[in-house]
Amino acid sequence: MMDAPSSQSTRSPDDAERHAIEAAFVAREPWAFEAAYEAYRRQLYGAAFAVLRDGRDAEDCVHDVLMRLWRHGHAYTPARGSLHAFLIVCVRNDALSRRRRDVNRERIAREHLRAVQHVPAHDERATARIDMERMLSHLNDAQQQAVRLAYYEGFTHEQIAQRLGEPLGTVKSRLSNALRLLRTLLGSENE
Amino acid sequence: MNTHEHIEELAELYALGALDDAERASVDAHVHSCAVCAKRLGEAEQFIADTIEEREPADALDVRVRRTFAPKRAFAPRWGSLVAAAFVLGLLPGLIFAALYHPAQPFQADRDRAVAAMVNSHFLHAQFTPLGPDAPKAKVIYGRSEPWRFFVAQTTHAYTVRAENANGASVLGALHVSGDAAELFVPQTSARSFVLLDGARVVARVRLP
Repeated sequence: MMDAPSSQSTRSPDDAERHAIEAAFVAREPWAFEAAYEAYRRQLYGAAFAVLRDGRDAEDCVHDVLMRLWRHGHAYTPARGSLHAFLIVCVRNDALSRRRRDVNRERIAREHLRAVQHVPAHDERATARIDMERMLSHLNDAQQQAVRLAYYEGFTHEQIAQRLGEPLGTVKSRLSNALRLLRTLLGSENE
Repeated sequence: MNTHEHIEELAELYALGALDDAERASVDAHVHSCAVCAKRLGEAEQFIADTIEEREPADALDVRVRRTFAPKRAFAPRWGSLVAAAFVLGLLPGLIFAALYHPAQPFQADRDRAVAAMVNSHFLHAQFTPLGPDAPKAKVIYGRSEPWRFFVAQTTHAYTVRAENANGASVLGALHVSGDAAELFVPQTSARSFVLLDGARVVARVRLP
């Protein structure tokens, strides 16, 4: 059983708490999954809902991802960075997989995403740390197109290559370079 | 990709959601034992995570998650109408009885004041989320429109109760222990987020809706 953080820790209580949750999450202790959910519940649900656009489906997605990671193991290590980001991407990827398995829902969700991506709801956009639309404006047209197909429409890189009629390697590099460029630009803005 | 190759650009594709299930599993298998690739993947994941818009989930999801990961707790994750009724019919008369027939110690004094508060106002309740294996079972009972808070825990340890808000934190006091129960009545606080402390260590947290 994993010990909770020592009271002698020099880190702030919040940091100690976060590290204790991450360490116990790696050890797959049940309380850590509940604690992680409590800490990130709005972001996890938001990630699922943004893809599935249905409350019950989003609830199922968040719950099932946590249960699967607990029961069947996961690839989170502290070297990967924050547990917060790991869980959000896990939930988002699972939601995308669910949507791909449901052709009809995928079509509905894509139509919805097309409708909202250029006119985002103000109250919802205000809660994201990064405004993806604004960041995309820094990319060239080809990069924007590829990232939009992946991020908003949920296409895999193979589907994007097929759709654009371009080699798979070209699309992979384009997506990778685009996201790395966005991260660099964001870092410059924050300096 | 075999496990000896670095994932390279697949890190960004993974974070963007542009890999299928099998490709993601392959990346996961690699980063589990490769700190270099884990770092690159984590950085890409952080960017995507920061683009996510928060959304408040329904209470039903909170209940499901708590039931899944706390199946052996004696307290229900959130008091539904049945448990609330049991509280009113069972615990509240017990508190009133204890208030009438037991000498006034700090623990008892808290109960006396809590009974008066509960009898004279509508109240709600929320369960503390444990943040460690040794966290006690604990709840906060609070006035629906009044500023009192009554902290109850199943423990023999006098945990400190601290209120937290955007402007900082303030200690409300220590639980008063009697037998295997501990309680603290706070007549007035506008705070809606609380932690139980063992020394400087946070062992449980609750946030009022």
